[in-house]
Amino acid sequence: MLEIVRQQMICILVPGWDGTTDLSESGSVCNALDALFEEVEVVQFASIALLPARVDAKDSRPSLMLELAIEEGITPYDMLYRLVYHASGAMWSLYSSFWPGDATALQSERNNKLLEKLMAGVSIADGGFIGARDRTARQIKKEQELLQWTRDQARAMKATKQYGDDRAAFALALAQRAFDEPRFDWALDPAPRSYWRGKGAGILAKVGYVLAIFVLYLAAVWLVGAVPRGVLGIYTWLFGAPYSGVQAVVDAVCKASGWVLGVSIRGALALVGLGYLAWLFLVALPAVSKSWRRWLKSVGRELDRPTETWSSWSTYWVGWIVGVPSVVAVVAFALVFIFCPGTIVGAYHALTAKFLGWQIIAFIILAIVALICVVGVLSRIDQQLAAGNWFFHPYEDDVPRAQQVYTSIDYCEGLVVHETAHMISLTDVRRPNGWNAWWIRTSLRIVTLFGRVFFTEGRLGSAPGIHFGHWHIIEEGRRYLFCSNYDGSFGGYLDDFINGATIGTTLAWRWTTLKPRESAAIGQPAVEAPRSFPPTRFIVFRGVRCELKFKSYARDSMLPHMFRFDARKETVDQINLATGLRDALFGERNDSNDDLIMRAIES
Amino acid sequence: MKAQAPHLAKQFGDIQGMLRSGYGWLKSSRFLLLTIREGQEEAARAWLAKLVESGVIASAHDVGKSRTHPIERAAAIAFSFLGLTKLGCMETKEHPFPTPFRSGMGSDVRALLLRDNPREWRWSDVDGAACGPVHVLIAEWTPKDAGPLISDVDEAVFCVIRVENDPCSFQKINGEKEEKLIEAFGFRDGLAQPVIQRLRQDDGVGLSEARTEAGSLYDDRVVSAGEFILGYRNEYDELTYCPNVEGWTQSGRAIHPGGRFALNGSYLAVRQIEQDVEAFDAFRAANGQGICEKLMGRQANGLPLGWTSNPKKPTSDSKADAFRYRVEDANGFICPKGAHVRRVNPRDTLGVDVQSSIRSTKLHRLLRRGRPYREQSNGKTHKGIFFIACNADIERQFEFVQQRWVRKPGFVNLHADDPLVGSSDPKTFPKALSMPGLPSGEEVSLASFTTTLGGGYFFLPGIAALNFIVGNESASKSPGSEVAEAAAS
Amino acid sequence: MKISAGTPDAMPPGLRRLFYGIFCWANRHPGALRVFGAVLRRWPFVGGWLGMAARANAVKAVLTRPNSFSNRAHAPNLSAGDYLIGMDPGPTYNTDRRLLDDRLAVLKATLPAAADTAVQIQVQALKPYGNKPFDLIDDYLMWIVFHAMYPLFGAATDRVAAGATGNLNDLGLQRQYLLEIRYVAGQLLSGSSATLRIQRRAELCADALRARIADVNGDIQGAWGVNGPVNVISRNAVGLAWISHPVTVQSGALAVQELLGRPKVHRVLRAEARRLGTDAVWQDTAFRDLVRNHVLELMRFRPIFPLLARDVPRDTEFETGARHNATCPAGGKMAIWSIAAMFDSDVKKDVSQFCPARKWGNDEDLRWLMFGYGTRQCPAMVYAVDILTSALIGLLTRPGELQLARGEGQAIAYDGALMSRMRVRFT
Repeated sequence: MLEIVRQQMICILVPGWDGTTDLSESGSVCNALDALFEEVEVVQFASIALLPARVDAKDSRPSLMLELAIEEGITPYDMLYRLVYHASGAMWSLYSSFWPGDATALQSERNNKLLEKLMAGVSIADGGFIGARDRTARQIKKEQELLQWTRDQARAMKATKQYGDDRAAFALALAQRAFDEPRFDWALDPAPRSYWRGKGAGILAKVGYVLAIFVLYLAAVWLVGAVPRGVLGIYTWLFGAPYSGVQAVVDAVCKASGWVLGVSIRGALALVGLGYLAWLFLVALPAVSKSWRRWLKSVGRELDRPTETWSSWSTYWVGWIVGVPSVVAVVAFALVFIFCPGTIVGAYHALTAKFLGWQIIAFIILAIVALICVVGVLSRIDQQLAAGNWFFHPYEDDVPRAQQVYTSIDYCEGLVVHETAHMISLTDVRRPNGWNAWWIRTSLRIVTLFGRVFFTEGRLGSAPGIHFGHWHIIEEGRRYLFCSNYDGSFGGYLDDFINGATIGTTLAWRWTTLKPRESAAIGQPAVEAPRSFPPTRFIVFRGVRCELKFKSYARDSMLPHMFRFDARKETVDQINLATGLRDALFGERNDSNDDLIMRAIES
Repeated sequence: MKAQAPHLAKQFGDIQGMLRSGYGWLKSSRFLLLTIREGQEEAARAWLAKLVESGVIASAHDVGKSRTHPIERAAAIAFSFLGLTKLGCMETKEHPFPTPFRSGMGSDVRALLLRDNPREWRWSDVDGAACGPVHVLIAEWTPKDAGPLISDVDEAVFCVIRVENDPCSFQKINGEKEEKLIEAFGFRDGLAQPVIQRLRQDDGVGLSEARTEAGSLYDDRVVSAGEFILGYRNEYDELTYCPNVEGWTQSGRAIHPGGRFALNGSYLAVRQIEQDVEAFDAFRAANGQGICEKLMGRQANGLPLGWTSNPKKPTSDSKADAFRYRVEDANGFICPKGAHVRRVNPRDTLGVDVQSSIRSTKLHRLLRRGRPYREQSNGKTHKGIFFIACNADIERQFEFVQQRWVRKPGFVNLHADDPLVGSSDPKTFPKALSMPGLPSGEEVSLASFTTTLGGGYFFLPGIAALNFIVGNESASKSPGSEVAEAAAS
Repeated sequence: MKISAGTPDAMPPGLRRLFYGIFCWANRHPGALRVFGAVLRRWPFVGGWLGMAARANAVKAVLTRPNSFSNRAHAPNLSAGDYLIGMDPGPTYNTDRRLLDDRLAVLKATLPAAADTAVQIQVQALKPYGNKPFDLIDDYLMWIVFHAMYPLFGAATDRVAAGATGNLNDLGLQRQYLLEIRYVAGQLLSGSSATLRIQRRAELCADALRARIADVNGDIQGAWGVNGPVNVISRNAVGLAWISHPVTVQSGALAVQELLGRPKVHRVLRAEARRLGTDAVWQDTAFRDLVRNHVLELMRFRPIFPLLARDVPRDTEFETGARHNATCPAGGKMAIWSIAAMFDSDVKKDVSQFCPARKWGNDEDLRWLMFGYGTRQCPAMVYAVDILTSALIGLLTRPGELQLARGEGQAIAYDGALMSRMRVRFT
């Protein structure tokens, strides 16, 4: 389920680039690539960049990276096959310098060699998000034509002033004209939607899907035990008892199946319980209690606080002393419940044997009262401290070389200010690589899952405007590549990430650092001084909240693109608007559709 | 633990006054754009030093001294990056100036990023104009009808561009007692300013009064000091980055121990925007005042378009500024989504909910200190606005607002430029604005109402840093506040 | 559910893969389909409920009512664009059909001699393998069919295969072309049941094929000697390219697979071939007829299209053979179990037996049912069987016995419903 997203965004890394191919903007190679992607039609975005080699790499030459964002369902092999074997030979012209003097070879031989090399360098995204999903470049193009046509028609119709004051009549007239226009026949079919975005998969369907899979799994586990037992029973009934060895094996299988069944069910129950606790403390209590809400907010704020203050520091340590042990205790209890429920039952019996019922209840009440008192005292202390400014006053925190943008990157951004912006960031995975790479992968899968299943309307968290964002762990877990194209400016994009997808962004980046490296070519940035990702607390706090540090980190890690192909230049909002307009114009005539039409034509 | 960050309240003496006040009571203003001629650096520094010593440069401390007897004149000095370099201030390797400031608003890459095409500028902060890059910007504020504060600029040392006061810029509206700032198209200007946290601003009404009148929406306009003054906590709760220059740390001039050169400073994004009053009047005659107000996004007297109380009744600025769009006017039936005021400050229009929207808008606020100007040439009067926006992060504030809100055709899914300061090139996008509130969302065609004549990024240093730049030895030992006190007396 | 190429998957994750898995399994196990088909024949009302025709009469009746049971059911499966096979009779159909008949007329003149020559060349090419394994599809059938069908594109064939700029002698390019059309044809088989990946691959290949044909349109026009509109030429060239070759190759592979599963039959045929000698096998018409009958019978047991689908444009009924007719609501679909019809014992008692020499008499058409029936019968079926007959004779002429090459992994590899590799060797 995630692979379908991950393989939509691929990077092909070919090391040992010697720089002899002319990649200038209007050069023949770039023109040929442009024409190729244009014709193939399923590539939505492509870019080329040079990744400088690691300092400790044997080959100090840079790698040539080709980034491709393609449509859903195509595997990297099929995509590369199509590109490499395309009659134009554009891909060969890009990579031919890896085989100097081989231009005379048969085309098919060249293509085979090239495909093999590219497949060796393919990296499908370890995690990614697609904003304007479910739409092909062709569909976007058609829908934009419809949007443009509608706006032009509306302008012309308004000039005639024959529709009076009625928005509904105006919308109806527009819809009629659209119906009459033969070139919009395709719009009669409603815009396609995938399962997770379709109307069929509401929250019930999503939960139901997970439940169905779980029940199927339980049934399968149960069958593993039940079928041999049943067969053995029938056999015994018909022919008498079998060998004792057979009986023992069947017993073992049944027992194992029963154990797995029990653990699975208790595991699910424990998950539900943990989820309930989380909901209780993070959603329900804040909703009913103002002081709890305030307290929770202040804890979050203090943990996230980018500057050092006494308030932040003390919250952090209280978190270690109180929060972490509590969480560990709850998790340990859950694990005991899952794997040795007998212990809990035993403890309960021991407890009831020793104390009377009212004693236990009184003890629980006392514990709750004590907890309330402790929270009250803490909150009082908090208020007392808050009165003194010193408690919240920040300490200096030097961020060297902040707000610096390398010239070529500044230009890359300037040139595409009317289109989709693009960033490539290359960082190093912190040591130990394997361990951190594993964590990154896990975090990215979670981000991808959430992006696929829950954030289906073009926003990741509440961060808008992302067309494609993908992360790759490359070079055997040594380095970390992030490519994204998005609407808006770099700063605004990262602001959206910081405010709208804080946890996901911190999770995706916190395992990395930036080591010094040479520049990949003349005019490209080098990293002269190392920089580290802003420190995090309890894995998900702080991190990207340190705007200055995070942006400087991201800026320093950036690489300019040398080639860029973008099938469509519209923003995600505009793409969604056009799809909505298509469904509104050709859908049922009602107020909401009329309103959507009227809003789409506003200038 | 490390050293404590500076306390804003203790630094008022080192902060230039224009960050604290727009000098609403000083109704005359002039701006000087100075280019230091080749080889005249020393003379320029001496002249600037003299100016600083003369005590006209107001500090935030001076501004806040007395509400009953506010200062009677004020000036501010800011430098472009080339100006600082020219005067010998070299950024350090560890703490260089931010890239946008270093490259300058006039540079080609900024023209692209600010969507400023075509650009035909008279002046800018980079090489290219006839006079060379503007190095120093001096702003002065004086009471109405007073003569210029600074008149002795040596033309041999500086190449000067003067931006003269527009005497009609303050007028009485609705028979109110006080005169209010009116820009050339006849709209009240200077409302909806952010309020800097912990920096009591003294424009007219008192703090508690303003707070009461705005009610719960007062917090919408309260913005952390670090968004405008370098070295303090900003909306991200982080200390704003302070660049440093060679020799500053060794000079021991820092008011705050360990404070870097840029502490207490700010960046000014400056644009000279000419307003075509004739074109606007013709538009007004053709479409009526109501449409003009929709274009602007405010009533001419400064009240919001959705104002429901009696418009004749005098209203405080604080109350007039206490409104949001999202709930009352999400679709722009009252104030079109593309209206100028809504584009430059969308309040809670964007984002997923009101709270996050307000929060994210606060990351892009500008402290506006511009004034209308007037210019006589070839027997014609040209009016316009000398736009100054103070901000601490040019990229996140001024450039973002310009690039993503004001000049972005697809802003909130529209497809046109800003109706007032949008592109003058009609080919790019229709010069039109729809009014969803009118029958079938009527659309009006617009003319090109404004032209940008020049612009630049300037650094407004703290008083101590200012003395360091101009090489003012005498002030080196005394704290900035004393200088300011001397100036005020 | 209609899902055309390029649209996202509207099914819950996993479900489509499950369906496709079942579909592919059924395609590879015609025996299972036959069993199910027998059930449907025995109790035709079950088929009626499910919208399935299984008895020979019912199947034939449905296939002769194109107005009620439309061929357009195949249209979503034609990833390379519309072609005869997905059309209902009409002006476009008629034009295209005339064009196709002209092409097939050329084939008529050259077959089976051209096929024999191609087979002999290819058998020579197999010699170096000795008793080492080779791929029956990629090393044998693919080339034979390619050369035997050369007249379809005539002088333009090499250009089509090499692309507009490719070297005409580049075998790799030809192989790539043959793979390209195979995937497009695979989509015809699996249609919307396929996983998204399979559908997108077919779409990519179809794009490539269309671009290829567009590039060499001039050559094709020259070779065909027609002056039609460009879009007509390309539509037919594209359609002809992807349907003719891959379907024949697949049918051939299926027939050989069936033959290898019947060692006795295989042995008898080989003995006959050996008796005639390497040269006479090509001349002896009786032997050719024998092999031809075998090919047809093998294809009956392993048809490439065991099931067919039809759209139902308007409310109608069909006779299942039960007491009540089955109703078909408009907008729905129905399935035709050709595989069940071909084994309908009401027609012939011994029809479930493998008997190439069976006299079909009036039911000859049933023997060809795997090629469709009525208005939707493959116009080139005779030529396809001719080519496959030659190909099989070629295999019989070799001294060793053909066997699946076991031991090195699976001898037969599938790509979805298609057979992508069949490793065999002569022992």
